[in-house]
Amino acid sequence: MNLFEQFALGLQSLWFTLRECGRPRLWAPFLVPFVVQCAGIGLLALTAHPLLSWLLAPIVVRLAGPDALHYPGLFVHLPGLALTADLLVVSTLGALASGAATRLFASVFEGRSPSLREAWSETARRAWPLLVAQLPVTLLLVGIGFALDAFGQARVSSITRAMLPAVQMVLGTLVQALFAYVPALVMLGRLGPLLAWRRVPAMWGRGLLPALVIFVVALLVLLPMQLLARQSGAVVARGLPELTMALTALLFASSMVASWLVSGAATLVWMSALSGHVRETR
Amino acid sequence: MKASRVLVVLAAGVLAAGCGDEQLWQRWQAERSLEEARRAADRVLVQPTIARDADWDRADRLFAQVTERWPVSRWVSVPGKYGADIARVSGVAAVSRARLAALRGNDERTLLAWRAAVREVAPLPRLSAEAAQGELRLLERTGRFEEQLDVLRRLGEDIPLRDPAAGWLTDVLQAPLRWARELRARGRAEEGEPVLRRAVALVRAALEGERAPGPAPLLDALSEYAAARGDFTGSMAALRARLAGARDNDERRAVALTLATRALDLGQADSALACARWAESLGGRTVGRAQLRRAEAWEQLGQPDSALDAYSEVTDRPRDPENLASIARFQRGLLFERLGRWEAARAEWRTLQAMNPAGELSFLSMQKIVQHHLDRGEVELAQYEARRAIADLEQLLTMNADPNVQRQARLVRAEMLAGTGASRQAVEAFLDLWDRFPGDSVAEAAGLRAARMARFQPGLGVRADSLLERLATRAVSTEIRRAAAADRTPGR
Repeated sequence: MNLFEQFALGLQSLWFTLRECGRPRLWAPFLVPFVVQCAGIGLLALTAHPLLSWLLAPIVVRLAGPDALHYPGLFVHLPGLALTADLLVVSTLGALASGAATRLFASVFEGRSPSLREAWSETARRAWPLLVAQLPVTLLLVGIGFALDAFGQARVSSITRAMLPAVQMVLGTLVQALFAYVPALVMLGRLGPLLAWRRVPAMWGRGLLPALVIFVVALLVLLPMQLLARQSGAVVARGLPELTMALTALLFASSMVASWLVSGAATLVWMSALSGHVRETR
Repeated sequence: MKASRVLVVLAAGVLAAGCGDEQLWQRWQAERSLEEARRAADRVLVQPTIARDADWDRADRLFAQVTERWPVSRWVSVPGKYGADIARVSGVAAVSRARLAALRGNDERTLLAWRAAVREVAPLPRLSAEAAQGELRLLERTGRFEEQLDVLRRLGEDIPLRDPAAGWLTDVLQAPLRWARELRARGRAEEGEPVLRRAVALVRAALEGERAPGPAPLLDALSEYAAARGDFTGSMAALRARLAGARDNDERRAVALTLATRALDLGQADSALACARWAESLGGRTVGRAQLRRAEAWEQLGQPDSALDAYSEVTDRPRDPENLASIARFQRGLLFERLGRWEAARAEWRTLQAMNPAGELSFLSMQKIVQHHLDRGEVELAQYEARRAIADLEQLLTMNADPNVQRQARLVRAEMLAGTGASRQAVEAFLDLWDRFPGDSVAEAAGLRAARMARFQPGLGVRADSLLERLATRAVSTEIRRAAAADRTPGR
């Protein structure tokens, strides 16, 4: 496949995935982490309550400083705190949800009726490989965040510092695109984590450009809410602190939409152009 | 088996939940309630003129709820990490409530609100000082100058010099000075001396617990107290200690400038000149003041030409946010008068009146012009200048509603009339001042002056007696009451 064909494949897989957006079952796996994320926002907003403060207050102070224990200071830090807590959700429930969604999308694209029960039971069987195989992506994303933070705190120009979020976004997108087919390799290719990682570079020849197209489109879905969530300080200053909870929930909702899109499109690319290649090289 | 495990985990969770900090939750709720009240107040303040009474009342009620639910007096003494924070939040609500009342525009209610705030936040030094300042501003604006003295006394005597969170409180340190100054303005300077003596003792006691040379606000206050008592040597000693602890050029230039002022007060013109030049060389916003001190030092040294040059440097400055040009012009006028250059002196003062008509120095310069002619027996010229000044004052009175300006302008107008022999009109002018500012000792002094003048006016004797009777029995100022009682006609 030449580059144009790969590009077209990425766009077409997105289009075919979008056409399936009316099927509630395809959304079901992602609702689980979303509900947990929303519950997390609620719990963070109640950090000061005696039922939670013994556990959450020290963590919140550690992550965001003593101001985060004050009203409305907590709401300025809420999106950041929620995103930090989300790393745990994404690396566990998120990984499992993407596995189940891959199975469901595969059924749909094969022309069969998707069975939620089957998808979940298969995900449960392959839970450990799924979790372990997707762990490097989370670790790499966290590592990039820490490295760029450390770089930003060093003596760099203000222009460089202003560009760091954009750099983080580009690097994050690239890393996710590199590992885009891991859920498909585990769930559809039935590979263990080690074998899946070994196959990942082999995917890049035909699959990296479609994956990049998919992730750039997903980023476009996510970006407006990410930019809005960064304005939590302004929202609080305008006297609407609790609105940052809704903003954070919307950010997670857009993240759910992006994950759904990526899962469906990556599954379709894998089924169209990569599954045979895996079988050949097995 | 599984169910029992779940129960154990739940029990552990409930036990752990008891470890949560109840005070943290109370602080959170207090802060949230305060924020809600602030939002309600902000909504009103966006368009205060069209806000409904219900909106004002709601904001007021929300602030009141914070102070009632978390009373400062209770939370300030509660042991724990967050008790003091909760007390502070409640105190902020009390002060905000008074501020809201001030913006609503009803002076009596505002005064009650400030007094309630003062009572409420009494255990919190910084907020106490803030509330007292609010009350002071209102009393000053409404011309209740006598009650101001009581607030200044409370500010200087009842509030600790240091707030645990905010540090040394400048308002509290300045209060004895303001109090003594107000007493002096009312002719009760001897009452100010014990005030300052007590303030010096308090500051010295506070300095004992500090590392030498001591915190800057304390040394500054000590220097000012000593200067206000006429102890310029003590004042300079405090300033030298302050200079030793100065951290940057901003502090150094401020201290150098004050040292120059004290040296002038002590008659050490050479030192004053050196200090003023040093302050100038350090640059910054105090250059204008340093130039003024230099001019004064040249005057003391008997070098009028150098002094005039220095004054010109002040008046020629392109930016003058502190209005130092008025001081320079007034002092240059005085210097011209001493040098016998009367036309130049009058021109300076006229320029000053045109540039800053409501300034205190403008009123003083009007009186200086009239007095100059009276001193030389030039009665007609004095009357001409007085008529001209009175016309200017009448115009000012119609255009400027500031109580301070109104009081000062009416006093000067009455003085002008009295000085130029228009005694009957002067009596009416002094009485008008007293009527407008009842309870103010300056206005009461004007009333006494009116009564004394009326006694020598044909047909006004009875009125004079009734005025003296009123002053002797009802004047707020003890001095005025005593003087009026002594002036009353025996047998009446």
